[in-house]
Amino acid sequence: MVLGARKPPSRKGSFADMPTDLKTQIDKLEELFLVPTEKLKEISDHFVSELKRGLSKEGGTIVRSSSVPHCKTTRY
Amino acid sequence: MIPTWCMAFPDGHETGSYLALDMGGTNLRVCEVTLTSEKGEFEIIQSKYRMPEELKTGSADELWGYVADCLQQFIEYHHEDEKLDHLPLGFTFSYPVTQDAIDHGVLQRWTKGFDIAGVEGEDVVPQFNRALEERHLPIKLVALVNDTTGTMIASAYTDTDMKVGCIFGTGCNAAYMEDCGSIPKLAHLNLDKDLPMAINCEWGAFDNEHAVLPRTPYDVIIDKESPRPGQQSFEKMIAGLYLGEIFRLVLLDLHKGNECTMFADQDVSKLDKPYSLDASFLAAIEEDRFENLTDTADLFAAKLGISPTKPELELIRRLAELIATRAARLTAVGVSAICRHKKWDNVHVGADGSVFTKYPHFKIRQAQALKEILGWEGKFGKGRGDPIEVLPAEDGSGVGAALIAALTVKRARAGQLAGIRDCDSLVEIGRKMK
Repeated sequence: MVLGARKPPSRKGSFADMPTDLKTQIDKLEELFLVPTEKLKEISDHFVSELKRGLSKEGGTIVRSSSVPHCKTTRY
Repeated sequence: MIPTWCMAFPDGHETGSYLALDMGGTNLRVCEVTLTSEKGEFEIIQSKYRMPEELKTGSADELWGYVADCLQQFIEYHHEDEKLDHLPLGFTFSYPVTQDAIDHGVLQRWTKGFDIAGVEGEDVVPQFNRALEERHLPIKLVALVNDTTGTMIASAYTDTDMKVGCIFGTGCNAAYMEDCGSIPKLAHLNLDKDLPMAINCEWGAFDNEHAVLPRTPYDVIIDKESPRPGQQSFEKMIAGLYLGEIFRLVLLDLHKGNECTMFADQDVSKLDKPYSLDASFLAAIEEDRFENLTDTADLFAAKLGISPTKPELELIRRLAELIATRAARLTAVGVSAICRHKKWDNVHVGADGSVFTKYPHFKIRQAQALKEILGWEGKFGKGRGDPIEVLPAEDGSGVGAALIAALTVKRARAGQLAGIRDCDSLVEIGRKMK
């Protein structure tokens, strides 16, 4: 079972015979795409303030206005 | 943060028969939902009709005429020779609308390949009603419904802990129940501050200012190449529509760059095609159970005409995990924010959409991130029995839309007429139903 963003334990060691150039790229991708706990909390804080702002008279990003049309959810 | 004028949760004791209509990009679904006297129970009969391609770029009259024809066919088939009197209808209209009332909705613009003149900027309800009237159909549109609100309400019918509805699919959005007293932008209407009001968050547009989201160069490209740059910033990092495209951009970048050898001497022309990979491609890679990733190798050969080396397959697998995990963790940010805003510590969240229902590990990754954000103790975060648990939703565009119609009739009868345009008809329908 894959937990969070961690490497699945069952596949540990499978990078053993990885060429160094690809291993370096994997490290870079992890740096780019992993979102650590502290960052999640920071985004969540900002999200809460945006929800409040969207309900306010002034509005915010997640408020509909003629200058900011919204794409609505679609499903496949 | 759009008030939807859905102003009540079901209590499970709603009764009666209602129609639900769901107009999607490929299909039109008509349902008749009967809410039975058994608490939280319902019966449903439904028919699916194709949306003809030519209709999507035709005229407004043709569109509404076709929709009304489908309804007529449904009624004639299921209620042959019956004398019907105005069946209340909940219409899930999955396009961006602004609502001044539950039976009102001005289309902002068409999406999903629709391009029909004379509808954008207009209230779709009178146009729809005209088609019904021309055919003398015994149907009354009661509620225009957003799919996230429908998802929340349908789920709440069977589980009263449900307070939020989410779609994690091709797109991503959520709705939750607010109280009118906490909506300053409706203050001028002097609504009872304790009345509930479902809010369609349209959270795909979160952080369009790019203040906090950890965007990568690939996210920047996705946005720049999209039909509407600068919009739906959050959605572009998490929705199924974009997961495959982020993946494709990374692989292409590694192939073209000179920092590593990736797909050397291989024909990457198929990989070069924008939006050629969807989320199900990543899901299939993550579902590969073999240590040597043979399924992934087969997938690349079949779909892209590329034969990756073993180390390349390892990178491919890790990349799929990274992109999908980031998406799941960011959706948890949205869920946590709603719950923190409402100070809800123990609630259920109803979720639907292909990414939620089909993508491997999505739910547990999301639960793990919720645990990290909300600081749950050790035993939680497994996606089962958590303080805030995201659960598969009931059918939002069918049962949910029917329930919202039922709730609207119910509140009209009780004299709660805020946000209802055609009050007289609703009160009349309500009177006849009992």
